[in-house]
Amino acid sequence: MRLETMLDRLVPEPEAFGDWDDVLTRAGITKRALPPRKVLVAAAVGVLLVVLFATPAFGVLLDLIGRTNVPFTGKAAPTRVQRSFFDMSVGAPRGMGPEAIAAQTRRVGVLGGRALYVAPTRGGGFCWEFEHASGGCDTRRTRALSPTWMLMEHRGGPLFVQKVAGELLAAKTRSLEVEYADGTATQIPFIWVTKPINAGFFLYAIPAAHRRGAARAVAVSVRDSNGKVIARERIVYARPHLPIGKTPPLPRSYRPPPPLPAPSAPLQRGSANGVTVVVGANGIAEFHISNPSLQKGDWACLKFIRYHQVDPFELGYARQAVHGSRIQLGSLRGPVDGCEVRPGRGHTWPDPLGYHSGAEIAFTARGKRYFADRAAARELALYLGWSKHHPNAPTTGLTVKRHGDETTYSVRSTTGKRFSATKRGGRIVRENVGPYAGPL
Amino acid sequence: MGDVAAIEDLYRRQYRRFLRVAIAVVGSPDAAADAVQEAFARALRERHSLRSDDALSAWVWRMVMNAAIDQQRRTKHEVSGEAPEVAAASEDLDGLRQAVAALPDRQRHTLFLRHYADLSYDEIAEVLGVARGTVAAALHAAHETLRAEAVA
Repeated sequence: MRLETMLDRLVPEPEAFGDWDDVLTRAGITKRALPPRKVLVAAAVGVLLVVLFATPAFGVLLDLIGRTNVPFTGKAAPTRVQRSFFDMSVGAPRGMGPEAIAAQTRRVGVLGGRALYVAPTRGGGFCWEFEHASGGCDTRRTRALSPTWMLMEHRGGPLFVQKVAGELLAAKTRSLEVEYADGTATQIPFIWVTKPINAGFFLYAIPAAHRRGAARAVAVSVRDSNGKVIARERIVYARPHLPIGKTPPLPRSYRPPPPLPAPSAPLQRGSANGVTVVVGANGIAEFHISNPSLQKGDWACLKFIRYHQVDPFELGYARQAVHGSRIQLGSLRGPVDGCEVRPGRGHTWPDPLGYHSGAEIAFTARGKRYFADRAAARELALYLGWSKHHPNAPTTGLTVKRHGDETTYSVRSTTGKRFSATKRGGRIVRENVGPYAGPL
Repeated sequence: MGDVAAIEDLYRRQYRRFLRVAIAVVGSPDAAADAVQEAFARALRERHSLRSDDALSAWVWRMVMNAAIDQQRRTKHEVSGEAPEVAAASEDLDGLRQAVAALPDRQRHTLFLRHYADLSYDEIAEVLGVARGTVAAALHAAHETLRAEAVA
């Protein structure tokens, strides 16, 4: 294959159109620059509009600047985002997940430097996420405005809000404001996504001047084109009262959940290291543990499903959260690829089994390969973690190769799969253990 | 000099080329898109410092390259985890990907600007602030290295 062709395949031409309005927003330019003649006309019209509309009845003239309408036709979201929407429904008990249509997740815009991803849900709602910032799902569409905020404090000082984010549902919303304790307000931008989403989204960093008690944010509100407030949510400042050292009593209204049904046929059975597991087609897994050292271990089962073809979807329960001998594997149904009991709290790595969990029960060949590969990846990850603090940590089982200023550590799984991580200048520049052993 | 309309025109006509080069530098499509947006925003903010509209394209290209390189430094660790999203087409590209990553910065950036943006030697020289001869030499060296990898 020609080099040019391979380079083309390495970075294919993207199918994207850019977002010029976002560039303007980032540059602090709120209005499109117009040719000089048009500016004169616009200025004249602008003066007229200010005279006509600068009254409380007509609200704020800047209303139209804050809202950006976008169609639900952006480019497909990265697999990572699709997967996170997908996982919410798989991990939830059957019928209780948002049921996002993950494959339809779109990147619809950028706000505050963060890409906005949205996806419709099967019930007519939607899920959304500002990349690495904030997100959620709304399946019922009941609240006109749903802000979230993060409370911060500086060395025991008063609480303040650093960022607000959220969703709004009123199609006639023309402006969105953050109100402050000093009586001022800031109009903030939001992105309105057309059908089937029909909702607006916002993410706004509160300016430093409003991170003090006397001027801190107190509410978020939306107005219609007449300047009328159509929804308002107060920001609640309260430190959580977490009881330390004792478990709070259960509320009187609490009723324990009914016992889970038995696993239904066809059944999968397996055992290892003093653990026996039976998994039913109904997604119920029953564990029996005779190994005393694993009595406090956590339980989990895994299955290769869509978006989880490399690292399977794992649903686990901490031992304290398990009542009886059965767990429900979210909305997963059997058969599964494997189950395991992980070492409980206080366990130190590596365990006597090497880099495996306390008991690994593979029901399929794929599950068996996964347990083997994961152990190899864990070995490498553990070494890299140790070597940050212990430069002379032993490299037992690892192959070390130096090439220029890079050092590559690798280990081969019993399946033949090779895991490696390359360091340059003390930092990891390439690795392939992430899906198996978590981020390094 | 450097009015908003001219910068917008450049953005709309060549966005995909800017983005493609940024993806090549950064490794992650989303981080690359963010770098392009930031670079153009900066170009808008600093447009009055540009002395001649003739130099606009190279000036913006330089900003995009700088933003992409900054983004790559900031997200290096994350990129290593997300790289498969960019070019997981097939394992036969792994060798080439590693060989490109191992090129010296100047050779790699010259290669990207030539191959993914289709800039001329003179334009690349202006963007990277080097002589035309340096561009030719860097490109030749990069091709030699990568052809050896492609053959192997």
